[in-house]
Amino acid sequence: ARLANATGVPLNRRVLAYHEPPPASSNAAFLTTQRNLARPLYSRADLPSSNGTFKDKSRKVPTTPERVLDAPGMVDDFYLNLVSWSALNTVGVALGESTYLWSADTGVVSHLGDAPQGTYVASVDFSNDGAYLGIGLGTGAIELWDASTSQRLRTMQPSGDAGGQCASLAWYAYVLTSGHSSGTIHHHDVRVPRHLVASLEGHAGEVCGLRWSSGGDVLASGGNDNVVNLWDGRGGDVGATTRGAPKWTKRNHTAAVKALAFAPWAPLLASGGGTSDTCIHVWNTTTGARLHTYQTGAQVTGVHWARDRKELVSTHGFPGNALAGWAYPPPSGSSGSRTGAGAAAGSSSSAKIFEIRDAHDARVLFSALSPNGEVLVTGAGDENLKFWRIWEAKAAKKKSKA
Amino acid sequence: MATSQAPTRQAITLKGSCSLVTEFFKYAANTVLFQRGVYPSDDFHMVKKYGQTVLVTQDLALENYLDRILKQVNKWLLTGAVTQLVLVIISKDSRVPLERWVFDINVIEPPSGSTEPSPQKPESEIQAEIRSILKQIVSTVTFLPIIDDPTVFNILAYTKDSADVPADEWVDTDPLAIEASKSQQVKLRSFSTDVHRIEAMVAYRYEG
Amino acid sequence: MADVDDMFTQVPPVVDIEVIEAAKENIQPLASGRRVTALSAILSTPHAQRDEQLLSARKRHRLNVEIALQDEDDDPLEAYVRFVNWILDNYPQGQSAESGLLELLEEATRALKDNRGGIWKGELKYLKLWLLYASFVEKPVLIFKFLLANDIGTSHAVLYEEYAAALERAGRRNEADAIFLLGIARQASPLEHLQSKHAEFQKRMMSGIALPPAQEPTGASRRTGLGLTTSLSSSGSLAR
Repeated sequence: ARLANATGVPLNRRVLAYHEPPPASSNAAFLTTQRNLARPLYSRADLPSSNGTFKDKSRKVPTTPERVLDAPGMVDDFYLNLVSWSALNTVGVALGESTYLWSADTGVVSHLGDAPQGTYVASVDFSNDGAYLGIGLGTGAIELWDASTSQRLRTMQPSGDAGGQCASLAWYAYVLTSGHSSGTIHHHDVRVPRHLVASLEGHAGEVCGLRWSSGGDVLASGGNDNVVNLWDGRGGDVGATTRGAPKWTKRNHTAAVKALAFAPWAPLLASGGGTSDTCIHVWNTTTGARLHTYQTGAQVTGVHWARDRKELVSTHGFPGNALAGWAYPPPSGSSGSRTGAGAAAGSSSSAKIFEIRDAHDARVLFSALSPNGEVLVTGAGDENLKFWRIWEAKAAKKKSKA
Repeated sequence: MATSQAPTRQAITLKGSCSLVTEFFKYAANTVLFQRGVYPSDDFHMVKKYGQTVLVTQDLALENYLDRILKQVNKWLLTGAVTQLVLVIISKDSRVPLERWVFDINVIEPPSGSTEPSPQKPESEIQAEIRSILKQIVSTVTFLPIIDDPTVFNILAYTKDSADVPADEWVDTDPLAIEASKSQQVKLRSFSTDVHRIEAMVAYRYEG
Repeated sequence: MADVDDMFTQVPPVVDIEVIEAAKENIQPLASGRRVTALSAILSTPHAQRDEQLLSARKRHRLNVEIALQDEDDDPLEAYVRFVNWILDNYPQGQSAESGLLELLEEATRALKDNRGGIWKGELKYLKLWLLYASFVEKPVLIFKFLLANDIGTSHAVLYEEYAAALERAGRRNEADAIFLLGIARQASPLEHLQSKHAEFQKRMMSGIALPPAQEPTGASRRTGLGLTTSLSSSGSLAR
């Protein structure tokens, strides 16, 4: 009886097992190899130390940042979105409870302001014209700041209990969309006193990725529930009704989805998954069809499309803390088919144009592209902000040749 | 048993619930065997289930083995004889139990005195709950140790004393418990049908 | 009955996965797994209180290490191991500026090497600090070489297993085989485990299953110059 108690077997119960053991695993040698293959995910020791592997000689991506800024107190939290780069060429960065602006033109740093006592900044995002900065707080409140005067214009409290930390923000025109830890997405019309115009319920976990398409026709959201949703934006006029159902829902990722980007030159959405997924899927935003898949082999923290060429860049956490460039579409034979989930990472390598490993000494968590689409700024738990010249604009290239 | 005097509709509900629960065990067991590398990932293929992709073994021997077990589980569910299913992952060489994936089976008592049959729980809601559990099984990779050595698994059925047991197929066994001082336990989500509530948990050996 | 109660009190409480799942992307998977009790405790501490709590616990661990290093009767290895485990438990996002894990491992492995006539050299716990350290460095093979040369942990099978694995992944199979054989010749324990690892390794070699070279190894050696430039530019990390 004592044994029964200790092992949790109730007294009037039987513990039964099927009389024969399960079949042996079919291929032991292969299995052992796979275990070895799986290990780099847990240890950086086996990763090659090379920086920037180039397949194409004509592509030169500098493997060192062109500028490094100190970012003391940058919070090492995957779910937050702490860096934004405005159309007016200003980078907004949140460090703990403070928000700073750095002008890429002049190099001047200014302290925009602080979050109220007892909370912290969980997200920042510039309005499309660069005039306003939205700041999402740990409390779920959203502040609207005038970037030129460093004035806080208003604070928008989420209504009722549907809220929690606001770790993602996205603008379209005068609509500021906020994603919350409850899984709720709110649309705020920042011009009017009753700012809340619609709420979208489509996630069962924290919304950590949020992007409007450039024309405002669709909104993409990604969450800790591993789901990607695409919402109809109706040309940005979100005031009409509250729409409960997304245009489409994708459950292909097996980890949180933070990385989202709309291609500027085609109706494509790229979405990247976290630690136990490491895939980037590319979707046709109109049909919802999955067109391509890149196996990156590392937690995807951000993804950006090139403006004037068919390429993507992704940022990564463990393992590798890398930046990687990808050809779109991936060369045939390197993409798509993910038969066994264990499909070797090697197959995707031909789609990879470049890779900068250990871009930071910690996970690369936050990133934004410059308004001219040439420079990527990255922020990480190593408390550095780094600027990488990833893409040279085609026009500029011609000029330099001439 | 509740089944004996149950009206037809409830009998149908019970049958449906049992097959739903049995089916869940199939996908949960496959997910665990895949995620924990008990069998090579090449043995698994993707199927659409519960509105998402699930990995299921295509090794015929394993598939049949699981089917034989689940067939009996389904019978026990119908009579309310099974209270818990446990998938134990054991080190092949040392026979030390490393992980126990525990699924508690609770029968929901129909509210007494109600003449109106209670409204049925929509299938989509049940599916969403099951999806959460399968998702959480994947998430456990964040804290479970990597299993470096070959493993085997065992499925245990905890039944009532009164359970009808096909003697040549099922035998009494040790519960394969994990040493208490080295055990870490994590409760996963639960799901429920109109008849059953299934609670999931994983216990694992952790030595620090 | 008393010992039954003891058994129960030893069982850690059941942790709800919700708190872990809500932060799953901030948890780096570890080969050894994690203590979920500690994990859920740190994850459920609000951001604001977390820093303060961590700071005071860190001071306590630092002090314990200092005391143990000075006090002849104390055990600095144990103090370091506790400190390292505390960091692993409380910085689930892995290596960051905040955690200071790498620096601590660097310090602990060196400080204990010749301390008190090198009495820790044979200890498995000391070896494990080295192995953890090796998992963070660019060229772990150099660390393993150093351990063999300095007779650190050489009676433990795990040293040879990890060394051989690092060599195998670098495509240096003959050397990996030699390391297995060395460990077996030295009767490193558990010997059976080492032998079965060796057998698996040989099976892989025989069946010609090549571990995919994670990247062309040639590229790695050619680009070390670039690697250096990068580490110079990220000046913050050179504080040591």
